[in-house]
Amino acid sequence: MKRFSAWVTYLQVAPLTLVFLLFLVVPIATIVVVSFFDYTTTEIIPAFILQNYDELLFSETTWRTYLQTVEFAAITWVLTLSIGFHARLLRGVPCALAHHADGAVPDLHHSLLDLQRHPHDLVDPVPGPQRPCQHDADEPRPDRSAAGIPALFQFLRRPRLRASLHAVHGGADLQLDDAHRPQPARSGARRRRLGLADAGQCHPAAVQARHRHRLDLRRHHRHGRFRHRAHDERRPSAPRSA
Amino acid sequence: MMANAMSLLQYPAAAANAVVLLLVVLAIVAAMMRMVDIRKEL
Repeated sequence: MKRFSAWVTYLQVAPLTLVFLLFLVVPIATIVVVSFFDYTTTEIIPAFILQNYDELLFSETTWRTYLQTVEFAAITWVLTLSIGFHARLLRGVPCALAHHADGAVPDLHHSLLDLQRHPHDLVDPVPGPQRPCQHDADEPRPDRSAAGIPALFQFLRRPRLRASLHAVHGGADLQLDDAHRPQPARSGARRRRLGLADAGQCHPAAVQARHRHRLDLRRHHRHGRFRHRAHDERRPSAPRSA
Repeated sequence: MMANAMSLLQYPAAAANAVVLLLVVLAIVAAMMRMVDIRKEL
């Protein structure tokens, strides 16, 4: 059985090996052999001479040609490098931030959790001290390197920024104070639309309370708001974004 | 240069040129492989 599987392996390798031999190894071997042949204006004479290499390596034309090739390669290399990595070489020229798109959110937005916020502190309007990386609201031009972007967008006939393809703002509400914090769908209208069946699925206690299931509000120990349904509860640990 | 030699039916000279260039390419690739570990980069 073991011998058989070895044969199968060789059979699997055989086609590519044959092609390789026929179209790569044999031609190259032929070229190497012919390079030692002698020749005249009319015929090629099988021989073993080093005159071809001698004439090639000690002629000025050869080295000028090789130097020219190296020159072209160097020019191409410089051009491709500067075009491909212009973000690194020429700072200030706008470019796609592909390496930021899939990266960690804190890298891009300097998001921070307001850990100092008191859970029962619902009226305190005083914001905490700003970190140096956070921009002030009245600063006219928050990011100097991005100042040219509107002109570029105008040039590209694209009037404004588009929404991000990635859900990078998944945990951004953790930064906002209560007045600006986006509310989950917990309005009166939505609560009225919640039938008994729905509530019964999510919250078994509501069925027993019958028509009073809306009063089944519980004080959650992490934040100072009321909770209606089990999944309205905010996860205490950090961003939801994947 | 090789095309020139071949158009003059100087195949051995062109072959010698080809062998030299092939050796140069192999030397460059060997040097790059020595500098960069491909398996690590993948």
